[in-house]
Amino acid sequence: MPFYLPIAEMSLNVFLLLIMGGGVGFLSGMFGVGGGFLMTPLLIFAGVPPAVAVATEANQITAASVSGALAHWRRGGVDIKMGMMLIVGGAIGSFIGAEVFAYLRTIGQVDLMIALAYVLFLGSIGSLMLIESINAWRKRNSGVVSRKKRNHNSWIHSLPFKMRFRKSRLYISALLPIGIGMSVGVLAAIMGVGGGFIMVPAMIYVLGMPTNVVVGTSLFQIIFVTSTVTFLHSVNTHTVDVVLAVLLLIGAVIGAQVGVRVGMKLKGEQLRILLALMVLGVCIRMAYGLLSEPDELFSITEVIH
Amino acid sequence: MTLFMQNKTALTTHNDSISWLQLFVGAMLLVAATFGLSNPSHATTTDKLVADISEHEVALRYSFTGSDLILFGAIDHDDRSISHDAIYDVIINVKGPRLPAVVRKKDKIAGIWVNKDNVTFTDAPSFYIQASTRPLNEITTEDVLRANQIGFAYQNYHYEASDGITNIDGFVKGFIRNKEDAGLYQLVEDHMPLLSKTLFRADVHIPANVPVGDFVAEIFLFKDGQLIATEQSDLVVVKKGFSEVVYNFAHQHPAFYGLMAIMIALMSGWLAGVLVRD
Repeated sequence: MPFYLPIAEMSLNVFLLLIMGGGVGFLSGMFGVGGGFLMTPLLIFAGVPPAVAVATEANQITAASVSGALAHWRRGGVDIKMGMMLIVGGAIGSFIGAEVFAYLRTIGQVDLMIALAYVLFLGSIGSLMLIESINAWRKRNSGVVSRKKRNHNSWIHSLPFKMRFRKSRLYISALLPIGIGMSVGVLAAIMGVGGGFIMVPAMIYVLGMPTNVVVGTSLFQIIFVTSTVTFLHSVNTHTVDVVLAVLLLIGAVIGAQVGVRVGMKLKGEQLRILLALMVLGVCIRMAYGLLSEPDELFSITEVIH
Repeated sequence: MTLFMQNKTALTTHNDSISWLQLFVGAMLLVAATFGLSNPSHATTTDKLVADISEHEVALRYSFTGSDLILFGAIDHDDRSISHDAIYDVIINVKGPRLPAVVRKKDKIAGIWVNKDNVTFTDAPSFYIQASTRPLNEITTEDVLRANQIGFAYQNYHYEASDGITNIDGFVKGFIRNKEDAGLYQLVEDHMPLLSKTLFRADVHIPANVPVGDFVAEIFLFKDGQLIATEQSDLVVVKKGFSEVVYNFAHQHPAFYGLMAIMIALMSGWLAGVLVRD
């Protein structure tokens, strides 16, 4: 059943959208990730203009993060004060990202930037995750238990504007969460991702936050950053397709519930290897689009009025 | 009894109005046939062209999968000049609004394919369906086609390009290929036989990705390669209903649209969170 998407200005099969939403929702539930880094490329592969895919996915991630953040909130897993600092940074970052996005769109390079950003981030994070999870799996199989000690660099403690974060039991410079939030904000604006895959490791290894508040706080920040991104893209480039976002959402909500249940039955390392392989797969597909000679060298962009 | 009478009266009035309407339509047709909607000014014969379109408005709804239109018409042959040896040809063009479009060409830079040169065509048709009784080059000469802007390649491609771009022809061809791939330029050559010496029709499919705006259907009548009559009919493509509301809202009140999108996301996320709480 084809469905006309008013902003993407194309028809897509409604069942395809529900399946895509469900599939990505399933994976995000299983792996505990937002899924934006999978959904945005999928939308692009399905023919949605990359700019619309990015902006719309930001909108969809807002919804996905709300339900996730709610669950963590109930368990007391959100550090509001830390979240606020991340949001301040996120607002600045998403503003910068959205401006760059709008500018590149006028000179016809936004698709290139999106593809390059994906290849770069998915490639490096996918490889790191794969190596790390294979090592962990090997060690567990050979019976060696190793515990990495968190090493805190001294420069981190010499930064000014120190602030006390009671829930995270930290006394660190506010510049740190603002800086992390900012880079995530830029990524959200130009890639249509929540940025959890950058933020969660950064919160653990750079800030030294306890793991029980990391995911909840990151989801809390993602709600606000993706909302800001949605707003900025709506105003700057009119690329947010609410109809597409809602259709993806329906599938994603259902898929995520199934994914959580399946994920609990699988071992952590196996899950991470699977996820790493998937991330690398998307990366390779994106890279192929950049490196192989296209069938058609010419493309048309209607002038934005 | 009274009731019956009233009914009967109403019925009579209704019949009257129909006959008036029929008379009116008949008169209009007579006017059209007599004075002609065609302009065969440079032709020696007085063959005329009468044509119409099955729908003058195409509405894109949220489930829009495209729309099928029928263009139909008749050649009103002049009894004195009709020649049974002459070859009559009809060309039908349906053109969308002329909108500026940027055509970009990819080049390999540092190993990756990147948009490099671009040319802006300022007034090329955004949509173009062309149907004809025979291939264009068999019907008439290139000069005639160019003068009347018949055929994808014979449009006036006014352009803006930075210095150093010489291969405009390549950009024109790239533009046409892209439009054909998207179904926005369609060639129905050879698929429109004249139903008889006088009647013709073309079935036209308007795809979902069509740009909105004022369209025009142009019909050309050729006799032995000479253009003897032209006819025009207007067509409007609009976004209707839900998709129109969303599109206009997004473009006219982008800030409110953005806030609405956020509200929808927050509400549905919250709803999902409450529903699946177990």
